[in-house]
Amino acid sequence: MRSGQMKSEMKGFGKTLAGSAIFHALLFTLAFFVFGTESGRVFISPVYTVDLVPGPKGKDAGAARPEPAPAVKEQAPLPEAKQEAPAVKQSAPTVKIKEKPASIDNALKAISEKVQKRNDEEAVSSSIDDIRKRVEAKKEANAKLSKLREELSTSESRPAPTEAAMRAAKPGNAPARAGSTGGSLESKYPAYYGIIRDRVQQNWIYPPGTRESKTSVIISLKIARSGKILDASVEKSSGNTVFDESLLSAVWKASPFPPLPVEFEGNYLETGIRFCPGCQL
Amino acid sequence: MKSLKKATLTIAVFLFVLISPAWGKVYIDLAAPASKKVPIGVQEFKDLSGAPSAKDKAERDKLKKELFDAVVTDLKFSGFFSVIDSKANLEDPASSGITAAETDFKSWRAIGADALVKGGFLVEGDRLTVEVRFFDTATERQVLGKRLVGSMRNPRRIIHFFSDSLYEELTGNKGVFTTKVLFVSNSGGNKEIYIADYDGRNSMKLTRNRSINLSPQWSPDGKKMLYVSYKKGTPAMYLLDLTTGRDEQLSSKSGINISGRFSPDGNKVALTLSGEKSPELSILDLNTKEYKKLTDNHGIDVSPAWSPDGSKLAYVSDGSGNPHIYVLDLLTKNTKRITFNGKYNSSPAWSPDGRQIAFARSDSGKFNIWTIRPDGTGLAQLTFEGDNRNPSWSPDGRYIVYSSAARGSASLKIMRSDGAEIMKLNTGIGGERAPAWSPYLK
Amino acid sequence: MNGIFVRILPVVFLGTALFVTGCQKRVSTEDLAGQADSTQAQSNVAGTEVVPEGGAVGEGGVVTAEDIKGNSDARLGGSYASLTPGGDELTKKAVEKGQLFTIYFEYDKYTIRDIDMENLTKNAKWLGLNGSIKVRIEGHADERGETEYNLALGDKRARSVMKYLQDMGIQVQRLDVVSYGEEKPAMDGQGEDAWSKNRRAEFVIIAN
Repeated sequence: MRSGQMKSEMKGFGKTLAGSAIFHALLFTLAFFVFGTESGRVFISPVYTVDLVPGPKGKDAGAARPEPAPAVKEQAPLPEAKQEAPAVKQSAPTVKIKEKPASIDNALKAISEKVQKRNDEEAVSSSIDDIRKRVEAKKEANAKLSKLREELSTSESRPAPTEAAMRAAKPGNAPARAGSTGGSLESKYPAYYGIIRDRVQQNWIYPPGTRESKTSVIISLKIARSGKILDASVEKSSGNTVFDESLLSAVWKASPFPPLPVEFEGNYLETGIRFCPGCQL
Repeated sequence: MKSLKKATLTIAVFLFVLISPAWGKVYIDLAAPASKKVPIGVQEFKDLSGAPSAKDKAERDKLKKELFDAVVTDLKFSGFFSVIDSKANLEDPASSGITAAETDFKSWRAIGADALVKGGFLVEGDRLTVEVRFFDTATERQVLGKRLVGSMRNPRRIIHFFSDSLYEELTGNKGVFTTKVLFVSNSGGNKEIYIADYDGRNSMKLTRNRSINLSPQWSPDGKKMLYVSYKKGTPAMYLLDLTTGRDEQLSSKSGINISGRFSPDGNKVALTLSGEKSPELSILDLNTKEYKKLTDNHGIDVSPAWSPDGSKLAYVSDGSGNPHIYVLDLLTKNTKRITFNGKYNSSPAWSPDGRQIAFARSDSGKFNIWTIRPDGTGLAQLTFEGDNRNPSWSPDGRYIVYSSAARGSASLKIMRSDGAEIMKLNTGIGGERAPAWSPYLK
Repeated sequence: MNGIFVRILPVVFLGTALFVTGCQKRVSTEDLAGQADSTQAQSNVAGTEVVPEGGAVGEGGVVTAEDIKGNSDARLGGSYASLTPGGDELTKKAVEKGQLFTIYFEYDKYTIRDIDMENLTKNAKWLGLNGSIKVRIEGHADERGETEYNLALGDKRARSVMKYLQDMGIQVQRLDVVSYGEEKPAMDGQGEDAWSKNRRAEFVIIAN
């Protein structure tokens, strides 16, 4: 009786285990498909031959040219490889992931063959984690450098202000009130805007532990024609008074600001300084 | 129905919350520090000839400092990097090498460096060989490596050559690290003309006549300097060959021969001469030595600035009562006034891309630098305090050098063409005015 | 049921294992390339670039024509006896004796003011009486404006005075004109007190 019960329990357990394993495997595979495509990982290998001897061919030959900056050229192969993928499907030693094998037996066979081949070809063994970490770091660094290059090639003289201007312009411009410029400070006086921003930025010392905070703090600021601060206060707290105070004191340290632009009408300029370190800019 | 109402209400509230705080006020958004700048580490330069003798050590240490300082200055000036204080450097230059294989990138990543510059030098008499390498610390790869040979007398120049290459590598555009600035200084008692690197270093006196020397200007090939001098008694125009030192009188007509500017093709000089009625604009053909008068009126016409395509001249005239800027089309002979505000508008300078004219404007005594489009639209104020004059564009149009005076002392400053403050030039001379940024040199 | 499970499981696991190793494989490929690249990159420093001698004036400083001639003090050059206002003895005397007056101007103006007319006329008369005297009219401006514009302004002021004297019958050969712009103020400093003293046309005797 007992063994029978156990057996049936085992059976039940086995079912759940199998089911769970399949589910997880499917999820896993799905994840690779989805995330793989997004991050540009290629499932189907473009024809890289792996030679143990230094000086590999293929994509690497290009990067090994005496021309400097392989890092620059490195970006190119990744998207190119992505496009190569469908073409490569036709060439020989690749796994046709998208095609469904005629039967499970055939599938098993193909898969084990491939694994065998891979095992044969694999030469350098490094810890998986290490490599993964490097890929991540490299992606991040490449992303940073390439982002920089992007910015440099597209931007002319007003990089940051244009972005901020677009954001600022969206909510719409209120009509100018006496003393304030409504929505026009940045578009009308970009240089002045930039100077306030740069000076406050330079004077701001982060309180420790707040770098990644996603809450924002807004300091409202009133500047007299002479550039002196008429009023500076926390308009919207981040919830952390130390953080709020650090920005407020940066604003004071950055003052007095230069005299307001000549063509600015009104006796004072009303604006706000907003900061959200963890927010994407 | 109920759920629809609920949904609409939620959306409405959501939108309201999204929009309302921004009503009526524009926010200045601060970026996370160094989020746009790449943190970079710079290691002390390595003496590749091994340990120097006792008598050479002091000189070598000085050289190391100079090379290091030039690298840091260039990296900072590019605007792409925030240089990590070298006190934080963990890797010991004595025990590490300067190639990727000999670098412990982990220690650089540990101090937050995303990029790294290392270098070494070899001294052979007067000959100085410098090797500089730029690395990506994440991929642990070298992005650029150069070996340059130059003179011991000017180590910074060697670094500037490298920086030009690095800049071009990263951006695809030419760097301005090897460009120079001409300027006037009266720190010696009278106004003489000097030249310095773009960062103000390596300054050198070019005129020594103890007279009054003014308005230095570059020839388009960067080899000659146009200037005005009273060395023979009256304001005449001279041409100094910067490569040979040969000095030639270019224009000494009766009266004033001033505000000369080379045309972009280098064949002509626009200048102001005394006319019968008033100082007038003229063009001197350098090949035929003939003058062609451009203006003929009762106003003062000075300070011509050529458009990059050589078809127009922006200049200052008091024809409307006080000094304003006009644009003269050399083909159609049409003149258009482009400034209407301010009490005094002067020293126009056309940007290298032809899209803007920088100039100095005074509203209540003190001047500031403004820019305007050649058609008169897009007026923008770039500086807001002090007395700022004589804007001159960098050859890539990214920067403007100008003279800035406050409380009697004058110095040269560089700002980005959108008004962002960059740096003050430390020439060590003092009283610097009338800067002129060179074209691309090399 | 069990059988199917048993058979599917390995397939699934192998399949996933394959993908995983596959990705890693690509990773290591790139890694190798990276390392190979750095050894390659080593050699791109082999091409040495020679930094040419400083384009501007070499590195030894420029030698100007003045230096070669050895006659470097322009103050002593030619018929221009003095660069300092009123530094000439003769002129000093004439000014002291009230024979040659400095003419002053309004800001950014070059027209002769009514209050200066008397002095200018006196100058003209004195010159008329002393036919051998040649003068140089030096035009100046205050320091507020820009250098080049002020040179032109000083020129206009001097010529405006010269024209007046010519109209009064003084021959043009006896009149010389030069502008110093803002370069030689009569009084240093700021404020209208100094500025008004610098906006002037000065008479300097250059021959007699």
